[in-house]
Amino acid sequence: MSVESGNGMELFVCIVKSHRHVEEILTGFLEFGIRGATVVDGKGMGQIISLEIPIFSGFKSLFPGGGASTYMIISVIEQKLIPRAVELAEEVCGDFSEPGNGFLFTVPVNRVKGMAGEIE
Amino acid sequence: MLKIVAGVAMLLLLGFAGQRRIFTKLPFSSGARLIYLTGTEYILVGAALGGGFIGILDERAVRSLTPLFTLGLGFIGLLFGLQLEMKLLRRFRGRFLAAALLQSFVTMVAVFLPFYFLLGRIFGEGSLEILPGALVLATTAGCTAQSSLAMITREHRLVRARVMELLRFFAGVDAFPALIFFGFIFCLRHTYSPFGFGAGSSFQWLFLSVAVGVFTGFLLHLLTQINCSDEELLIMVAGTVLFASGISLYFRLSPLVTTMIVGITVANLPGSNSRIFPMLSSIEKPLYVIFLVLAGAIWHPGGLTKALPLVALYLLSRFAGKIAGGYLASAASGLVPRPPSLLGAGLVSQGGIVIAMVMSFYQLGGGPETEIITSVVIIGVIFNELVAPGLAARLLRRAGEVD
Repeated sequence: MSVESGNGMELFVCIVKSHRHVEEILTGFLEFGIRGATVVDGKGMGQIISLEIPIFSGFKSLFPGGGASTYMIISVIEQKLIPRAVELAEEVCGDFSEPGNGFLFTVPVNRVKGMAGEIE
Repeated sequence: MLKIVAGVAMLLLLGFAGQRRIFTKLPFSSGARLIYLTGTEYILVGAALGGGFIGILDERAVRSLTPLFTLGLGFIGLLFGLQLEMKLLRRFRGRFLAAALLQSFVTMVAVFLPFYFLLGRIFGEGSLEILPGALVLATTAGCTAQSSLAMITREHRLVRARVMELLRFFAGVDAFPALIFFGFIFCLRHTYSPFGFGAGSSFQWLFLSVAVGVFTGFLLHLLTQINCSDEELLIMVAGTVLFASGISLYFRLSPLVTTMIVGITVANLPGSNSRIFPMLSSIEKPLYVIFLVLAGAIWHPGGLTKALPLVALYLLSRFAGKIAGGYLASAASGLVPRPPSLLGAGLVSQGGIVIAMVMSFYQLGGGPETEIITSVVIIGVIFNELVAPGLAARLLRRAGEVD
């Protein structure tokens, strides 16, 4: 599939805190026919500014956020699949309205090129 | 058997309940906060559970927990080693590293010399425990804990405070040379050579310790290259740590040092798995609480009066070493304007890795000599943790970094 206009497509961005959640969400995506997603390793604002008192790894604590990771899943998804993707993410990570479970948003996409095709 | 099960259950309960309270913000007065937040209370809890009082964690029970705290020592060594990435160390000036190692070395010498002569008189001139005992006291003195510095940074929201940054860098890396010397203590106790020739027998054991660490590090690196879940990763890491620690224990070497080498190897190999460090750092607090309780359990407060003069000498020689080492490190750092001459006053905090070192020494030691040495270090840690925040805050106030 090569969608040039981007009509009916949305950018799905989901930030989760566990590598296991990333795997479960991506596996779920495959079941819906979503074939492509990118996962970016990141640091949350809280991880940067909240200073954990180090015990055995004092040197690493000089680099804020060095000990913790969050993962950002980015995928361009057909609009009709967005509710299922959101439902899946909340099923895996818990209710996003509760603090600490994760963060999610979608935005409309104007143009898409080079997107992977659907699974037959 | 029942006592051992009760001991393990008590340790795990304290570890996981205690991790929520240690190093957190609680509405205590500053005096009480020093005791509650630095973990000193868990040493006292351990002493209460030990052979002198309740007796759940008496010497026999603690000795039978060897597999548990070997794994713990392995995790701590691995965690310490994993942070020592060359790419992170290179972000600091080379002179900083030299200055940090210099202050640690000066402190170790300042503690080693008086104790080497004094322990000869106490243990008897022919005792084989004089050199290891003096070296344990010296190496534990060389290490600086981050806790009080990190607490001051958090409370005063210090950003770009150059003296504090220098102190925290020193405290972050100065345990490395101390741990290498500490590993050498175990090599001194061997009476035969691992490679068959007599010359440099202790160095042959040290080489073996490093070789096991590097080999196991490569093994862990290869194992963790495959895509796996967090649980699988934990099993692979725990298995590798048990393997390295077990070999160390079999050869009567320090698991702490071998697994530190494992960590350094993994951290510096290209494409290393970045998930191991966060996974281990998430369990460092309960692990620390468990080790504090165990350290308290092996400590006999009854022998306090006997150990007190040695504790006083340990505290004084360590403080003198830190001040002298800090003075030299301040000059060696090359910073302009030069950091305060009394830089060492900010490096008094002691804990963390030192508790693991003393437990590792206890694991392979025995007899009244080990008891005296461990008591001196444990009381030293309690005292240093109490006075360190005040001394560090005073230094930083004079440097204009804290109001």
